[in-house]
Amino acid sequence: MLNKYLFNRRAYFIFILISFFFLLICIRLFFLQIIYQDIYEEKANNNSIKVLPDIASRGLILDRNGEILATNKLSFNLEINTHNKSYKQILEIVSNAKRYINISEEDEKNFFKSYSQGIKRLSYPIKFNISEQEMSEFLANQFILSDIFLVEKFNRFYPFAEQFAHLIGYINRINNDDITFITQNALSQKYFGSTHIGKKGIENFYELQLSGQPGQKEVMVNSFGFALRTIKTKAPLQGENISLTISLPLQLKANELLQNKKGAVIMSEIQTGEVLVYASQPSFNPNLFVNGIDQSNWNLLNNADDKPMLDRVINGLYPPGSTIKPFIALSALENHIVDTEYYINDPGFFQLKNSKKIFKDWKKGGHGHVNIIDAIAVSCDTFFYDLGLKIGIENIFKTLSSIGFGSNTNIDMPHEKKGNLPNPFLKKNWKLYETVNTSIGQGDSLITPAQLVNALNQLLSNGNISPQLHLNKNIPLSQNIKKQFVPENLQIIMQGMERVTKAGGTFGSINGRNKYNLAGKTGTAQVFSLKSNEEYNENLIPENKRDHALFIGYAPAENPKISIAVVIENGGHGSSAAAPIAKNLVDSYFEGDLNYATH
Amino acid sequence: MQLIKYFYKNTDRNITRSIICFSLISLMLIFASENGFSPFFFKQLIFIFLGFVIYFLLTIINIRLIIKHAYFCYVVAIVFLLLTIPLGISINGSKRWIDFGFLHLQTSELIKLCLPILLAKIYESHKKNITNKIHLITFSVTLIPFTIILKQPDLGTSLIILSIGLLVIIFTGYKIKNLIYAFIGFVFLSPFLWNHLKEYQKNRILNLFNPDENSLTAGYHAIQAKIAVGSGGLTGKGFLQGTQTSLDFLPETHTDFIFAVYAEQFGFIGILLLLSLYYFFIFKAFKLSIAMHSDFNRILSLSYVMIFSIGLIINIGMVIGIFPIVGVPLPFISYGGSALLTNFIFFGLINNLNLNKTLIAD
Repeated sequence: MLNKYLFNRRAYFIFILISFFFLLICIRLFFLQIIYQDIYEEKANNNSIKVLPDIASRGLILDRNGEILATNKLSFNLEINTHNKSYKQILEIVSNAKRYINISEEDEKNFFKSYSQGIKRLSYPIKFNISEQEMSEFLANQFILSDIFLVEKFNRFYPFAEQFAHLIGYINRINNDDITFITQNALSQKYFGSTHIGKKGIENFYELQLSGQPGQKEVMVNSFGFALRTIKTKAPLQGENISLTISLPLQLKANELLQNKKGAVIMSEIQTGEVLVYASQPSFNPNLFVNGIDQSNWNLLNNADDKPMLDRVINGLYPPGSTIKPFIALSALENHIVDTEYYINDPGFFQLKNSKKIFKDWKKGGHGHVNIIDAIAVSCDTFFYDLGLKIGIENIFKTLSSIGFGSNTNIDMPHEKKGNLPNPFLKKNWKLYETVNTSIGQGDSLITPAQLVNALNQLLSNGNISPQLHLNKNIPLSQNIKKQFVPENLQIIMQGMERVTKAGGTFGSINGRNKYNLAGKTGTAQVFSLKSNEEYNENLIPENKRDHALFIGYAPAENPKISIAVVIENGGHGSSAAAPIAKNLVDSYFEGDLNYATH
Repeated sequence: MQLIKYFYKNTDRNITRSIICFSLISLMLIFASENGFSPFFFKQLIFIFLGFVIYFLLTIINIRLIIKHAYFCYVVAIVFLLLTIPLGISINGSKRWIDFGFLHLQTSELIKLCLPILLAKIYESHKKNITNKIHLITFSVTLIPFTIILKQPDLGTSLIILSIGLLVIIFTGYKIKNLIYAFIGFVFLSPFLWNHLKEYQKNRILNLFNPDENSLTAGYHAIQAKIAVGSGGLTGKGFLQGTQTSLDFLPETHTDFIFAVYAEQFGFIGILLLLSLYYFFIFKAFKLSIAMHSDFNRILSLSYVMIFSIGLIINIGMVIGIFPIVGVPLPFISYGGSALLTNFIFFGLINNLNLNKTLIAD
């Protein structure tokens, strides 16, 4: 027999030990459940109550007559629920999903990119915009792919695709730069839950208006992050629609005219600055960018010789050529250098004093007896070589910069280029021949088509209105008008430009067919300089070194309503390559069947 | 009919009533943790029914045969443990089960049953002269299953096995002083033992001290369980109203963390009631055990009560964050066939031992 006394004593001791543990458990529970209940209750709520964004729908972009240029199309995305999942688990989900759904490398890359860099979410899209076939395949296998679910989403869609690519731009997924922008501008609240942001064009410039303000949904979620029921909602503030000044039919017409060419057309109303046409060719399909463009398409667009991604209206830089002449004339008249009584005799070339260098006129043998009006009409180089020297580069610079050359036009587009207006005040050793070159729009001068239209508008309206794309009729126009030029001087220049399209003018070929009385100025800008003994022969020169064709114009000549600038890269002569496009568009504007164009 | 009458008259009714209460709570909590009727619920229902049949049968049948072959039973249990190494199915990284189709047998449950029988028999047969050699044999036969189970790995069950061996040695009169020396020795050896723990076991022990450190990996269970318990408050969120449970933030709700499900829904008051029931149950079984007449009966019965109690304390301790998470179920309440049946067998045998005062008379 064992020592029963000892046995019981030790057994009781152990029992007391057990009792002690019971007491310990009770004390611990008292702390957890009574003392710290608040903390744990809050933690439980944090677990189960999630604030989800209720994304605002992005505003539409419309033309001036309400035609839809950018819209939101219902589509279905597949998203992976990543909540409370380790990276390894997510990798497994993705590799498993690939057996049932066609997921490209690009999709996968983008998924992990947004997962690791984007704004924190419960789930991330793995595949955008799935087809009906893909949807039915997914639904058939959904029981296996339990961590993947369908998300209804409105995708940005550009129905006119290439026609407005540069103007409207596109939205794309938010990347690291955008996050920096968002945080720096304290916009995190606004982009709560957003996946996309305007990257280019109007989509970028009016991003804040278009994107709206997301609402919030407080929902009860389970540990997989699925919303089970809604507790509280705050409605989103939908994005504003943006009406553009653009006219859809004119834009389509302009693109048609630019087909298979490299170039840009910008047409606007003179008094308001409202842009009617904003076309740049070649172009690209902005719909490719909405959910991230794939690498091969990107390379194709980015490496193409004809630069389809370049917005030639505000980023295309060209020597102005002879289109600068009306503005040089303006400078001469404003500075009282010459009047209409001043004539020269043009022998077909110009020579600087004490220099052997010869500046040729475009016309062999010269234009003979010309005054300032004739010189504009026939684009007499010799007259302007001489005139430029008379005005002096400082005055030329002042006049040209006062009508917007060398600076932004303040058009409501992002990333506008300023071009280059040679500044004699900054440049040491300004040479006289540089003045001579500047006077006919060669040398270092570079302009954008938007600057040409802007300068023309300022000249013709005698105000300083900027080209504008947002149709906003609330701006009181009179406030923006500031007379700066002597009206008589403007009349002289306009006479010259009117005669360009008359018999004997550089675009005199349309004389008699000029129904709506287009006036203007042609320009042919050299891409590279010929030696003085060489002759320009279009057929002998590689295409990318051929002259750029330019034209600026307005109509009707007697009461200017609209202005236009056309640039055709390597198109040859302004009169043959650029001016007819302008004529065609101006006709369209006034034609009855394109009724859209008027208010 | 006569048998039932016999059963009713001669067994401790409090024990049977308590087990019925536990079973009802178990079904209720499995219902809650799975958000309604689930396969687990019905399986548990079947196992409870089976458990009561076994409980009833073990109370009344003659168990001399089992006792006679205690060594054989022990060897069989060890063989099953060893078979688990190649044949076992692996769940959550540990191999503890052999698949018998209707039942995933947790083989360590067999040794929980057989080891105390063997120990009781060893002391019974040497009760005239208990030497340190006997204690050493006891310790050795404990150490074999302890090591195998530790390797499965199943830290919780292996510690229960080890403590049973030690407790039996203590009850049978081994000098406490020596145990204290042994303990001091263990403390010095522990750095060496620490290196032998698996990474996740180390993590679990470390997480006990600071679960918030890495909430998405090892500490997640511990944190979510504590949130569930703590957010229950004084009166609980109400039956089926626990967000931690119903929204799946709490892991393993129907098995190891079922106590948290209870705590979240019924609060501190509910827990005091449940703990009282457990304490009362253990106290009754304890009193019954030490009042038994033969050494064999007392050692065996008390061992079973101890296994039950230690499992209970470890489970609740890990849920409320005073012990590491070791994967021990809440006795009679957690879902799980083998563990549930083992508990029914424990108390069926305790009843039997209480009725048959001298099982080893000859």
